[in-house]
Amino acid sequence: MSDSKGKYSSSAASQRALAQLDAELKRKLDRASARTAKYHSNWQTVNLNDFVDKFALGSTAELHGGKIYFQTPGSKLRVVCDVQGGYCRLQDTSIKNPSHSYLDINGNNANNEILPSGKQIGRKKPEYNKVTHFRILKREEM
Amino acid sequence: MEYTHHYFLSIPLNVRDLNVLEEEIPWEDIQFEEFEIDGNDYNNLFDLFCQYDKPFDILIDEYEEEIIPASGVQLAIEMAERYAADATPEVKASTGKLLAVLRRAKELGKQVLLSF
Repeated sequence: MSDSKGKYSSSAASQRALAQLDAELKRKLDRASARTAKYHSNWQTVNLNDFVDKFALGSTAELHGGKIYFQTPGSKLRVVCDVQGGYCRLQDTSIKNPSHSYLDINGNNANNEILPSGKQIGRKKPEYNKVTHFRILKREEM
Repeated sequence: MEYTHHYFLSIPLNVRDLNVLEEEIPWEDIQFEEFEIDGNDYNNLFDLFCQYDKPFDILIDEYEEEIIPASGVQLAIEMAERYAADATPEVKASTGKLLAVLRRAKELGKQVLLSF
């Protein structure tokens, strides 16, 4: 098993240190903290080592501003981890419009839900956000 | 590895509110009028997006989706116009792209989905 959690934590720490010297980056990281504070109780949790092994095996951690990407070369799936907020999302990068591109915790399209009647309907946005954001377990929780 | 990130503003045409989706139709059947901006526009508009947080109870951010409600589009237009008033030409140009979308949403009486 890869230590994606370790890569994430060290990359996040370096980016947070950089943010102390970069006011614009700090503002962006602070917004992620606000999002986590507002919504994290709704989110499912993931062990980042397992999650990256499942969807981005063999990937390296790549820093992009306030995010860290894990993406296997040639794969359309990207695990997008937030530097400050301690959460991640799973994105299908083959879908151009980001609003349709995030997957559920099993890597399935999350745009629709199935009613007890069997009818398939679009997920309401709050519900979509709930099933496509994942709190990253801390080391001691893994 | 090369990465491309997209920034979309979308107006849903055949549903009233993506937060509620009372129409109960599959996502694939929702029709959108879509507009794309780029990363420079996003950065130019970042301060304005932060101003939108409070009145609309949203947190506009990259890799996230937020909605400006139909009832708030006029306020969003007014805030954008004030934002552009003393801005640099580059920020004015980016704000102009946003204003075009907001004015279209106002004309249609619809909300705007921001997907950055």
